[in-house]
Amino acid sequence: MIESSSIRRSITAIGTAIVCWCSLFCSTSAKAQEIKIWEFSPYVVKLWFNFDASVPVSDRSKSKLMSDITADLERTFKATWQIQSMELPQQLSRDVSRKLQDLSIADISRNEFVLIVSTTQTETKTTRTYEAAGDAVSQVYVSPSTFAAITSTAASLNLPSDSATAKLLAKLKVDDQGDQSIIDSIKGEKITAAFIPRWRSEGIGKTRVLHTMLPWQSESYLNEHDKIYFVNVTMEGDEFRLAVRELDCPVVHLGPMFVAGSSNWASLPHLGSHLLQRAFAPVARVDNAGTSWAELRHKAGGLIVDENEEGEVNPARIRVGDVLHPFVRRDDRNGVPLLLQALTFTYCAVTESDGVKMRANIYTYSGGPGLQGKQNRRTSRLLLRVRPAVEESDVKVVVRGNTKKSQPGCFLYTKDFLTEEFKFIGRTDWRGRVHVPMPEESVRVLPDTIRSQRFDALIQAKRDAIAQAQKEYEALVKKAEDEGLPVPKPPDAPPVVVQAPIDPATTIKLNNPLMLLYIKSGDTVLAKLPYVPGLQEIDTAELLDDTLRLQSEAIVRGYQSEILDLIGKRNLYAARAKLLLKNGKLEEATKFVDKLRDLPDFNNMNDELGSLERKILDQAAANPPPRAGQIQIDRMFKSTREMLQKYLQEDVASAMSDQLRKANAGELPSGT
Amino acid sequence: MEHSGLRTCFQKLMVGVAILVALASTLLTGPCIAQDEMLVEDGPLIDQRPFDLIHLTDEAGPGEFKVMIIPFPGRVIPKDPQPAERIQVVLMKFPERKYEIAWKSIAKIELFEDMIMREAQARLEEKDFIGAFQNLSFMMRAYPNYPRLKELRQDFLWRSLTMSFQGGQYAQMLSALEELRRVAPTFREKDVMAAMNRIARTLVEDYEKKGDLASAKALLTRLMDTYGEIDVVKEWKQKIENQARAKQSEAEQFFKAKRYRDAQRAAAVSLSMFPELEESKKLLEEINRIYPLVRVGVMQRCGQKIDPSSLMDWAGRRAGGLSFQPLFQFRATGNEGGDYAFALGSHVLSDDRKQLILTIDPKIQKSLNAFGLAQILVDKATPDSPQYDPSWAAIFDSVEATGGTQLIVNLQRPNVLPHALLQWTLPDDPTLPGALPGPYLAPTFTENEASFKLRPNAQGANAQGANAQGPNSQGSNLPMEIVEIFYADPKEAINDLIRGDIDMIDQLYPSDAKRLASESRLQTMSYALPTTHMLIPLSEHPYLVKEKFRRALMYATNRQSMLQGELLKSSDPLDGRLISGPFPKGLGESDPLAYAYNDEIEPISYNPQLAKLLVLISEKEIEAASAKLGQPKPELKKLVIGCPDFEFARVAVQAMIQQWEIIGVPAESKVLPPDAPADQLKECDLIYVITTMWEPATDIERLLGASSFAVSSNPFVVQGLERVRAARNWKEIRDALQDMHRIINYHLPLLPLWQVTDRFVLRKNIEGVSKQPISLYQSIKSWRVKVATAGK
Repeated sequence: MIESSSIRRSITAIGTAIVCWCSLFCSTSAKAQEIKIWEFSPYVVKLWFNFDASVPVSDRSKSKLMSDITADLERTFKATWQIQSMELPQQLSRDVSRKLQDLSIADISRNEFVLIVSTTQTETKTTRTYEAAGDAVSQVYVSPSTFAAITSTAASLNLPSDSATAKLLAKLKVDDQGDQSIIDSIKGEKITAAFIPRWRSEGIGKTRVLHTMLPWQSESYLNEHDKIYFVNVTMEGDEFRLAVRELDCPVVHLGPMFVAGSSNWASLPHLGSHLLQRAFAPVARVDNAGTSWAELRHKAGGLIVDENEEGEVNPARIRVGDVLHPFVRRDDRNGVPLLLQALTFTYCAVTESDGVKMRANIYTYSGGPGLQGKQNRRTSRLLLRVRPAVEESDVKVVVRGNTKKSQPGCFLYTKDFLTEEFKFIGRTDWRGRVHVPMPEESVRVLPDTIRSQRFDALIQAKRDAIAQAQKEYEALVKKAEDEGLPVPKPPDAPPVVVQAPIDPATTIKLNNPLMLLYIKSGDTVLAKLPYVPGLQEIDTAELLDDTLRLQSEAIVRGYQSEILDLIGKRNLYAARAKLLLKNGKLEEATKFVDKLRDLPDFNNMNDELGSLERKILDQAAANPPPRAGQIQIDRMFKSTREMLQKYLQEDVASAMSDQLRKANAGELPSGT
Repeated sequence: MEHSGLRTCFQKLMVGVAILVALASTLLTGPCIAQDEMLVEDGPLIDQRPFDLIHLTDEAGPGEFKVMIIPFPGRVIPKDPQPAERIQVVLMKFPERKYEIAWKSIAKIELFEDMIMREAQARLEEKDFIGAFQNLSFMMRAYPNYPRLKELRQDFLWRSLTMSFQGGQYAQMLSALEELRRVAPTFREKDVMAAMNRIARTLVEDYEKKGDLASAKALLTRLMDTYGEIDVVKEWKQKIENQARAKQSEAEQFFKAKRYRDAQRAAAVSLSMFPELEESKKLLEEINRIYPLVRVGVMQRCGQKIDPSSLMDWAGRRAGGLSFQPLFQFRATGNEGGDYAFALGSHVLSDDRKQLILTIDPKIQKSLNAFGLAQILVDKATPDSPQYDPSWAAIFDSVEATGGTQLIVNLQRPNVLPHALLQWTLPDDPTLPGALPGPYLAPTFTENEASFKLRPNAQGANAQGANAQGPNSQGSNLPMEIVEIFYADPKEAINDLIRGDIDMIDQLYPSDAKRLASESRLQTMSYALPTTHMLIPLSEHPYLVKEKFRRALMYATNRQSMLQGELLKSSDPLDGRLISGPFPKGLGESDPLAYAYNDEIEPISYNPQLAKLLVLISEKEIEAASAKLGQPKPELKKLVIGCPDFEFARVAVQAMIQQWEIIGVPAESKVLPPDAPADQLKECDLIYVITTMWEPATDIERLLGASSFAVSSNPFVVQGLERVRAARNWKEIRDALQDMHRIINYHLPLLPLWQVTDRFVLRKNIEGVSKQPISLYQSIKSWRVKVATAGK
């Protein structure tokens, strides 16, 4: 105990030193900010509070709430969070008040300004960054309203004079004709640069839209922070309500909204702090990955130094059993994101961790991207811990490429990670939706290393068993040959190998409800999707259009049943006729031969199959199915035709008629 | 993964074929299943091809030969033929050749008719009266002039009486006595008449004890018509009159106490006992004037949940027409779907079939206005709403209320019959907003009765101020009360109808309908549209979930024989016919009702041997699947067939149970009460369902769609339903439904049985009942109760 606490103290001291060193380093050298040590870099967090007009408290109380929450979070997250809290900028207030739940990045940036530069004029031809524009452009045109908005906001910020923004602001020139006139001028090569509203910037020829780092705009604050939290305080009846959503800045991802309420203002700091902890998604980075495993590095993991087994766990900690959702970010050479992508239906489950380095299993859909790929400074694969926020989730199955077309009637199953047993969940309704319940028990998985070992061991055991069986068979053959006995038949089936049961101690209990969904349409598995229920109310799975294939399957399988029945009847009638002929009961035998003749023959059945196939082909011509579907359709009809040829080509009716004729003519002695 | 699924399916099929080929021959070499092809050996004499028997003399080589009937003149064997003379005979064994036999070689010839007579006598001695009767009947038919036949018949009748009396078979005994008296009026005349009086008295007393006065009266009337006022008639005529007067007095008491329902019943019984009783007639007239009441015998009782648009609940649909008025009501079939009435006004479908325009007629006084209706339409399409209707939600897009009287319902895509999905029942309490009540209050129940009282101030009620609480002597005779009485036994219902205890019966067997058609005071009618009957699998029974096993059940069911035999006792296709899918076949291709029926698909024929094979294949497949999972093969547990409490269904289910037993599939029936709760349905593996599928385009969704208790999980059916839903015109609808028919026939998510044209019967004092209604109370507002006429 003494030892562990002294070790803890040492680690704390080292951690504190590193933080201090980092802070010092950060403050003394701006350029050094680029060189960050991932596991020792705290999350740079901004808390944006928005107070609805209906909240009947003084400004002082509001300030106190903000500072209390901040202080509580600092105590909780310790060195892992570097917090800044303030009231939400005015331009975002309306959206956050009105629709925090549905807020999107487009909403946030809709009313912002962008700097556009001409791509044809010498002055700005090569200008690609905001910083460069500060030096390169001679004048920046703005409309009167844009001028007012930018200058008034900038005035409150006390910008350093050598900053790019300050340089650009110094070159503003107002065009009284407004934004359209500015756009016309830049297109007409009369001016080289302008600030215009973002919504006007699309589709303007001969211009380049720069990543506009006005300090109060999203591109700037996304660049400067790791996490931003929108904290909306409203009244609902007599109750104060807090709603919190996280914006993860590097992957530009808005997390789910968490809500709580209290009629007591004094309890809001605690409530707010709790909600923010729930909304927080710790981040990991992929260092290395295979198809089914990944080595991860914990953001700020090195700063979590004061945990012990008895004490509380730092909420910034990613623990073994946590489920993470991966994102890919690819930047251009100027650090401007070119690709920001959440990998749908792909998750990682952490199976090992030393606090900084972690190992995880990867679960992705058939043909899914995994986490392998180019590793460089401009491409990062980041993972956010999942935070189920709703109690119930639906999966909606739609047609890939036509999301308005749902796929009703698909069956959903879950497959247990350990036993590999399937459990039926439900069927998609007319909207293509099916409800996915939360698993009743905690999900357990095997670490990938153990899973691979078991798999390899099973393969080896099967090989050994086959070799052993072969050896035994050869010995039997030799013995039979030696004794002049007939050579025995080789065994029909390979020997069964029973694998040792999984040691429960080797399994990992997941902290989140990860599931493996199988979506079936008829006999075909359309997709295998890893899934975490509770993240969203509806998750949409875009899958290949299976309509025509399923329709074909319905017909072909039904038709195959008819063939089966026909074969049964043919055999029954023929056997009965033979029996009667054998007993010399010709009159009775005739009845059965007549029945045989009345049954459809190969040609009838083949024609009917042809007609069914033509019907499908007509539909395929009008509305072609995906290639994979068409291949399956062709295969189904081909195999059915083969079945017809194999079992119905023999003309049993004629053969029996011949026998009957011979019997009537006395050529077939009774008893044959 | 995708390919492997397909491969597995195909492999299973090939394994099935292999098993089938192997089993077919072994099944036949083992004990065979009884079937119509079974060989019949020589049966009773009367069932054999007629022959004479020639016994040869010892010199000619002893022996006897069956020969075809020898054409002796008058069928008399020549007395002294010349020994050298020959007669020509044809041996039964070699019918193609003629032989000649000399009389000297013949020891004896036994004629066929003599042999039968001897056998009849022998059977009579052995007291095998049935056997003797069969021989005598044959003789009466084939040899009516046989010399000793008359005597033997009288002897048979008299001797059989003793046996009948000992066995308590009084009815047969009376019948034999009457027959004896008819064929031989002088044969022991006094004894016969005394015996008739005695037996008739016993029978009438027996009827009286059972309360079956109608039968007692019918018997006495017949005896009087045939033999005049014999002793038993005299005794009972007075007794019945006394009883009728007592009942009349009871009726008067009830009337005074304003217990009109009891008074009406007592008076009707009184009148049925003694039709000449003027007091009863007058009292009935008075009751009918003040409190017209109709008593309806029903074969299926309604439950608490009644719905005039119900698809699978005949009784609920029938009774629902009294208490509710659906928003849209199916009235008749048409060339392109049904004809529907909008309860609040009129409706039009736009040319592009993407808008349904509802116009509310301000003259129709309802508590529902355009805005209220719009809200209902939206609620029904909202998944979180308790009123959610997935079928409606799947086609509904939005609704616009243009003023207070018109609604424009926008659909997601063109639909030919959107209004068919609006056959909703809204609250029946007129004080509630959005109510659409029918003319009668919700039923109140006693043990076997459901009573519907006229709603206070109901439209078209007995003039102004009419109400259910008190009598009203003005205006028309719209029934103040409808009482439905449940009968488990149709015969009992018919008795009560004849007796005057009830006024109508809602469902009749065709044979009963034909019998009752001759009753002058009754009127038999048929419903306009047939019902379709089917079995729907509900459970996860490991065998029943297999398609092959369900097909085996179909092959094992001799539907044709059941339907034409014990169920309908009729081979007329208008009474009932087999179907191969869930849709009605109508009366043929030209019947607009049959638009969904795919005539290319024949009903699965009876073939118990193939059924047995398919059961064996299913067992093998289940065994293999279990072995793969390392589990024991599940045993074939008894199938539980849920069956409505309706004799037709009960008989059908019992017959199926017996037939399935032949192929080794055990089953039992479970009679379900009306409104059977979900837990009772869960106990059933299959359920016998009678549907009124008159609008297949939408009814198939109501039968197998998400809102049905019989919702199908079969992906092919789900896809088929989607195709029907997405159809934009009638051609697409027909194609989709006929394809659906094929899919259902292939995969059997339900087991189609037959369609039946139901009939009903009423006493002629109930007027205004429309001919060929779609439901019994369809024209209830036109019904008028005239003075009750008593039974015979």
